[in-house]
Amino acid sequence: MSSVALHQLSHSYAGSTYPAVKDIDFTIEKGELVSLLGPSGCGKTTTLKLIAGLLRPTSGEIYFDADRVTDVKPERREAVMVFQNYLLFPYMSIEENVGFGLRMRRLNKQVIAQRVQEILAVMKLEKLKGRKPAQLSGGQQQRAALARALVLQPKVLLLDEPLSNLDAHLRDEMRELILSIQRSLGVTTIFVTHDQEEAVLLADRIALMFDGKIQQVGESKIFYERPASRRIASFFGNNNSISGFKENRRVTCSIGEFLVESDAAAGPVTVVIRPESILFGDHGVNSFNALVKRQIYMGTHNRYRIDVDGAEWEVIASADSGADLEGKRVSFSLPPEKIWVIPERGQ
Amino acid sequence: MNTGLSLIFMLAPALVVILVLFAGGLALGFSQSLGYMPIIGAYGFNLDAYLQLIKSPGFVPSLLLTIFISVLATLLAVVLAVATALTLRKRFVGKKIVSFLYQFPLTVPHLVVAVGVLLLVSQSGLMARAAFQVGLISDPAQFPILVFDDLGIGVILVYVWKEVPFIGLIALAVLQSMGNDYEEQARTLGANSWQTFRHVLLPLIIPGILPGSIIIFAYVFSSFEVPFLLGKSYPAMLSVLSYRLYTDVDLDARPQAMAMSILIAVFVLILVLFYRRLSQRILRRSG
Amino acid sequence: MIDLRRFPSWDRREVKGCPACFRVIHVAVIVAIVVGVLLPVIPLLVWSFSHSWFFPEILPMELSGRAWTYIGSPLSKVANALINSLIIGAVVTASAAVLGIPAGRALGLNRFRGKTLVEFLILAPIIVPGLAVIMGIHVLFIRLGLVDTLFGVVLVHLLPSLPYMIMVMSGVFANYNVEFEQQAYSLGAGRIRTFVHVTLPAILPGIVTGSLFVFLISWSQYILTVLIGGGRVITLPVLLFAFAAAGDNAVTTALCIVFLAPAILILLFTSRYLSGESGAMGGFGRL
Ligand SMILES: Nc1ncnc2c1ncn2[C@@H]1O[C@H](COP(=O)(O)OP(=O)(O)OP(=O)(O)O)[C@@H](O)[C@H]1O
Ligand SMILES: [Mg+2]
Repeated sequence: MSSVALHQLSHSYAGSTYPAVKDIDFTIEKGELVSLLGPSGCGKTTTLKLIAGLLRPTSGEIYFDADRVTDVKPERREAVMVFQNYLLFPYMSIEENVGFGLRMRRLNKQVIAQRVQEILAVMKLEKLKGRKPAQLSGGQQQRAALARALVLQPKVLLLDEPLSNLDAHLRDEMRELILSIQRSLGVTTIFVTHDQEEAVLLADRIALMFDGKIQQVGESKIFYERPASRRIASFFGNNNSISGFKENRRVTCSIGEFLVESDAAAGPVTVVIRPESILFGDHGVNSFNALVKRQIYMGTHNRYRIDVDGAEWEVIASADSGADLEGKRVSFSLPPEKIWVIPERGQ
Repeated sequence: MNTGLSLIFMLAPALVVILVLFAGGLALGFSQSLGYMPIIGAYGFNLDAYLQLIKSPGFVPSLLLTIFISVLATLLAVVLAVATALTLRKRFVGKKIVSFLYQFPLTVPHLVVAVGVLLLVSQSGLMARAAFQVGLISDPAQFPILVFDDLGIGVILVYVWKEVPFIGLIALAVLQSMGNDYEEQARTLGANSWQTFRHVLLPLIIPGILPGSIIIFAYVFSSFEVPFLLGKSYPAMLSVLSYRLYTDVDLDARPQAMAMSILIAVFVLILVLFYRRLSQRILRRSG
Repeated sequence: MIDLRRFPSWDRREVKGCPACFRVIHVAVIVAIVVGVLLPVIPLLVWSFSHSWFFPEILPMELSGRAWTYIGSPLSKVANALINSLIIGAVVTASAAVLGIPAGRALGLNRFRGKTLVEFLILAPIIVPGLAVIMGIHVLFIRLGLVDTLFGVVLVHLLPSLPYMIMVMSGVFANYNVEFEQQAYSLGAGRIRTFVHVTLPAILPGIVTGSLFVFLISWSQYILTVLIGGGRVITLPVLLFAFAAAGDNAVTTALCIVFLAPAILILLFTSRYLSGESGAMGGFGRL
């Protein structure tokens, strides 16, 4: 297993004016499962192909452990990429597909047969090994594609949206399978997805990408609690944010003034608070009024949409109270220790 | 998608034209080859024409030459087509112009190509002159005989020149429809460029160009203008023999001409079936 | 679960590679295409303007417009042949489109019993040599009084060309989604509007490619024209063949250029459909 380090990695496609991936600086530890998360078109596949060696970076370097691999050809990279749409070779049986990489390495026939056999057993594909890819279901094709990569014992496994073509039920199953294989092999894995929930469920760490740049890296928790920008908060489902100006421990914004505990520097800031941190009622500090536009009963809790100076915020509160607040003006408070303050970078 | 009736309406006009002309023509030709020619008062049904043909001394050499020329021309066209298609699918400076040039032979009639090749590679042709100018030869007779030759090199050159883009454009369409993904997948699984070509691209292209290559094989086997202009008179390709017999002033040669055409058709069908078998077997092994 | 860790990691035999080779080959292939395509055309251009040009001169000793003057004069019948060729080509192309588009649609969109047989029938005229059929058709047309007529020639030109139109169209329709039409109907478009605004744009590359093939086949057809036209219907190939056989290089090459020009003009307009993303050529891969 190797660690993967990306240094100032950029790539522009021929004929394209702006880079698809720009200045990526990021290290993936040995045996780590990192999720590369971001909206469609943000450059996830491009990054993966750069690591796999299928694209040459316009600038920057790639290291596997201490080895510079930027100029190493894909077939010698010891990184295997599994494409989003499986790409099993249509004219080969499943068994032949799985053995493809080993045959390309000119291994002994018996060794190939034995390893293929073993991986087919792990992936529960033994009964299907004689079939052609077209005769397999989506989930089976996905397993075969995974087997074809794993049988090579890659040092780095690159998975491009491996679950996106599966239905919800299969997706859970495959996710668990990938997780258990990754844990048992300890293979360094980069898992591309555009679904934040999937990333949270699977990854040791998440690297969030917008517009070809990695925006924030860390365990899933920090994306909820300490998002680096309003856009990241919003990508993780939190739209409770407002712009303001911070001085000392005080933020002034369009709905008034409130106290925060943040140590962020003085200046223009964005303030974010999670839906479940907002309290209804006047709790002494940071208390404001808002109209409840909608109340949705969610079983264990209620979800409210409140109007905060034209923006729509969400509040999640226990369903116990049972009161119907829809259409009413209510007071709510923002506990200072729960408020996350993001300094606006001077633009 | 469509009801049976509307299917018939859509297919029938084309099918009627093809059936009447093709099946009708074939049947009449066949009956004439058996000696049934009311125009000249022959009402026989026999295999005389076939027997005479097969026994005639020129037949076997002609058959062999025909097979040689059509197999080699097809093979060369396919190999060059795949090689050029692989190159043309990449981006490069001047691609538009090169692509246009590549398609150009499609539009050039065989007759014109034959004339061009004749003036290019004959012993007094442009190439021989160039060879003389640079001192490679001192006399036209020293230049290799490429037209009116034993092996039909000139004929093959014409067909290869003409058919490479036909197969090549089909191969390009196949390559374009499958994109780069399969190739990239193979590379990341550890195949080098050659292995990717050999084990992934080729098996994906071959089924697509198979019908096209059959078409050109059948065409080369049976068409007549090019070998008539550039081929030796003995042995000549079967189609030339057939045409000579057909235009013979002696009407008794007609059944033989017909018989020859029918034989050509039979040979083509046999060889096409054989070719399909063979390529499918190769394909299976290359996976 | 099997412990995958005991696999020896990433063992691989060294496979020889040559990074620079591919670039060199790439460039070599492009150069070969350009040179290879132009080579046989060069002597045509030069010869048509030459007066005397003997071995070993690489350029003509004396230029002259004789061949072009002759071709321009009514004596040579070139104008007549050109008009005949154009008329026949246009009528054949239009008829093939009218017959072939519905047939291609029926084959591309539907699965039905007997489809393989229908496909076989349609392919047959290009696999089975024209000679075998044309001699029979000749007899048939004599009876029907179609020999020596333009109409007879048009009919017989349809035989080798119509299958191409059907093949291309069936390939295009195989990738065509009928639901676009249904969507258009449900949005209130009538049949004609739907065809013009929805169907036609989608299948246009196919129609263009198919028509190009049909026209070119008719345009360069010699043997069918000469047998059915019986020397009365003079087209460019008939004329060219006669000159080529007679061996007047200057006139032959000038005629070659006349013969080439319209085809190049057409290619200028249709080129992008042949190797574009449309994949119209892919139709040849699917039958
Ligand atoms: N071959 C290419 N040529 C030119 N531009 C490309 C090419 N492939 C991708 N791009 C562009 O590069 C950017 C990043 O593409 P990429 O495929 O990496 O996105 P992605 O994050 O994988 O998106 P998705 O989630 O939709 O797969 C996009 O703007 C895309 O349009
Ligand atoms: Mg992607």
